[in-house]
Amino acid sequence: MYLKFSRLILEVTLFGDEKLNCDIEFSDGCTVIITDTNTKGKSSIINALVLALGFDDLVKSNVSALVNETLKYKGTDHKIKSAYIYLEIKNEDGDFLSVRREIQPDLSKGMLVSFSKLSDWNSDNVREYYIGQNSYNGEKGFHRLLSNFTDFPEIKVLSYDEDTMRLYMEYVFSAIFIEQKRGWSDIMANMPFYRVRDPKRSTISEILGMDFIRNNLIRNKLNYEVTKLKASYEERLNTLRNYLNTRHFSLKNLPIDINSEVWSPIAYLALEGHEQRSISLLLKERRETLNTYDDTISETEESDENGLKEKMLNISDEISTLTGIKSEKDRTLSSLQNAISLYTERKKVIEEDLAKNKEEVKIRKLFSLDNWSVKEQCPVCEQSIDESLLSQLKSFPTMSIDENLKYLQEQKVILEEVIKIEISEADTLEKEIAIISSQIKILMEQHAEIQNSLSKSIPSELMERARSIARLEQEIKTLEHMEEYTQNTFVILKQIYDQYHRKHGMLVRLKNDLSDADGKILNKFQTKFRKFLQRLGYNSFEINSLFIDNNTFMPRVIFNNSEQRKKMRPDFGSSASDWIRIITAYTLALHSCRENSDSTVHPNVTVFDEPKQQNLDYEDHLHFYDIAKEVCDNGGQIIVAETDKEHFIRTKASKLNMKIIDFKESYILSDRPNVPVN
Amino acid sequence: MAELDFLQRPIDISSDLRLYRRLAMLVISLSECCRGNTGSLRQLHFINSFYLDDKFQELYLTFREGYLPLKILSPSADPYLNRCINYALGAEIIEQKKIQNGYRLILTKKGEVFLENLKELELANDLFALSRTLGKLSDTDINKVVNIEG
Repeated sequence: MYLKFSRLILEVTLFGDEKLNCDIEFSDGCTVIITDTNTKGKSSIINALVLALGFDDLVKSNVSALVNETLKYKGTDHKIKSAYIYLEIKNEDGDFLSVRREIQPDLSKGMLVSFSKLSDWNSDNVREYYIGQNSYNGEKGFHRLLSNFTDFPEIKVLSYDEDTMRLYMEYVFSAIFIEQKRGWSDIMANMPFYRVRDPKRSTISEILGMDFIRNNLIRNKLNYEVTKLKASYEERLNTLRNYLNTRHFSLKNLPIDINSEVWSPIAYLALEGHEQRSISLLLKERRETLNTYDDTISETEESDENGLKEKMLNISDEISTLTGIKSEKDRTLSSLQNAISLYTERKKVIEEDLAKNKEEVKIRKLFSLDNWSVKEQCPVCEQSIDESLLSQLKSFPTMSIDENLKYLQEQKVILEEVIKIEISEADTLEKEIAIISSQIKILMEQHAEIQNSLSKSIPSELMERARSIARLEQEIKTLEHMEEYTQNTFVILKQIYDQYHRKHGMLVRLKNDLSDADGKILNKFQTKFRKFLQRLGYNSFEINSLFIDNNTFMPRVIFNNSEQRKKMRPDFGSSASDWIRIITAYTLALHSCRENSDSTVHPNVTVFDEPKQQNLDYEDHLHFYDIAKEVCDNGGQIIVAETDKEHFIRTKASKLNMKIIDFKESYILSDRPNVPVN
Repeated sequence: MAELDFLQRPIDISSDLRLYRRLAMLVISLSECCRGNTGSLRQLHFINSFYLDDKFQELYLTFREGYLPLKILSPSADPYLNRCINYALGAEIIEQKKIQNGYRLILTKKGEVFLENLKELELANDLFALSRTLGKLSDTDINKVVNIEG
């Protein structure tokens, strides 16, 4: 990203058509805007720089000076008819872009743009763009144009709701634009709230050109996947455990916690006082036992001469099918009966309400001869009378008594219809259930009859053997099913387990928040910050105890007390003037470290309004200009607005060959007629 | 493109929040449940709870029979009753009378006519029936219920 302020014009027309203006051309390096005293309009110039770029949120509380309705001129207040900001900026390729934004009578939501210098501004050759919602995405969005012009990339960052969102230019500008009203209270004090999570950390990371955000997004994705895998593992494991437990089986060697290292799961029969035997072992035993019965099977089959057994089985099947159908119908009937009783109850309530409402109409008639009832307002509480006792502040419309009566009648009719339908359905169901019950009864009798004849025709010993075989076969079938289900689940669990450990491993490797490259960038930034701080005369703590925190990217101080070593914000222990030094050094170090990475989004410009805060020592403050000069010598642009009663700053700036725009004692707006814009 | 207008459907109101039946409830409270057609706000709120809250009604009657520990009962102050009293004052069916410790509300002539009309046309019969069940209620009766310690 690259942006340089080139020229700014403030143009005000008063009622009476007197025109006032202020025309400033910025140097590519350092420009110092100076007045002898306060309240001459320097801050208006500084704020106009961001307002012209549509970053209103950065100067939210400080726009009033710019959009006053009146202006003091030649000792009297004059009403403003119209006021405009014209701004000319240029990008890395040397292209110019000029913007005009109206600030009076209203702060406009649109701006005129010309792709040329302000001196070539021609109202026939301008295009209209808008700011505000969607201005980063819309075709005519000004911030979309500005992003393209300044080569500001679309950076995705994490939002508060765990989603990703764009890092807006306002975030970056809050770090490089220090206005006077709030800007000196904290680092990036004017940062607007646009839902970005850890906004300062994300912004600083991008300004320094680190990969932190990219890594963070990957980390976040991995975190989400790992949590999902863990939940899926636990859910499947619980289902399997419940399935086995209801069959008196249990699991071992299967990690309950997915983080465990062991994986050799076995499902075994867990009966008290018995040896633990796995499903496959039990299956093997049952099959062997079944083989010993093989010889007798043919005899059993021979004795089943009349096919009675088969018939009995058929009847059993039929009984179980019918029982299933019956219980299904029973359930439906019961829910129908519940619904009927609910509807009937509701109908009763509606009928009561209806009766009361009808009575309300009759009682109202008693009042109809009375003048009071037609008054719109109660003479005592002065609330309007709309036939109800609800607060007149209510925000919803209510039914009149007649509408209410009609509504209740309709509800009653609907309910009656519904109850009628439900009752008829319940009747039909009851009849069907009765038929099924009688069928089941007949089948049960047949079943008992066949069972009797079978026990007579087959010798009891053979019957016993047949029963054992049937039981064994059933057991084997169940065990086979269990074995299959358990093994399949093990395979799936193992897949999840492996996937989890792979992703978790990646996450652990990423856990060291900063990559090596990012660490180096941050280290260089820290060195620069300390160096600048020392030169600005910081004295509250030893310079080496101040450092840039790896987690927040903000300055912190290591504080040793008798018990422990603490890490804390430096503003708690620093003097007020030293806190200003920290903000100044931090902002200048950000600019100076722009060269450390190719992917930086620092626009190569920094703006300070009144950096001599909190009665900063003059000698120390003049070092600020030495540092600014250094930054500008590397190609950066710095704009400073200062009050300089003693002329120290003028002397220093001119010694350093900086561009000085000196308003001396006068107000920044004047009636100089040479405004080159039409 | 067709334009869509979204209008909020009017909401139905419970009959207990309608004005005129509540005015009837107020005059019945004063005439049937208070002595000398005069009652305090406290009395009126208590009677109001008795009319509107089935649970309270049941509990109070059980309590009066001496079957209930006192702490369960809690009559509630109904803001709609306050509004209704304001309307009734405006309609001049009741009036305020200053007494030593505050005000009392009295049925006016107009209120008595309203009450007679209700009886004549057999309106609000349920409320008359309830008031007969409750009987005349004095401040002392209410004190028994609400001035409970523990």
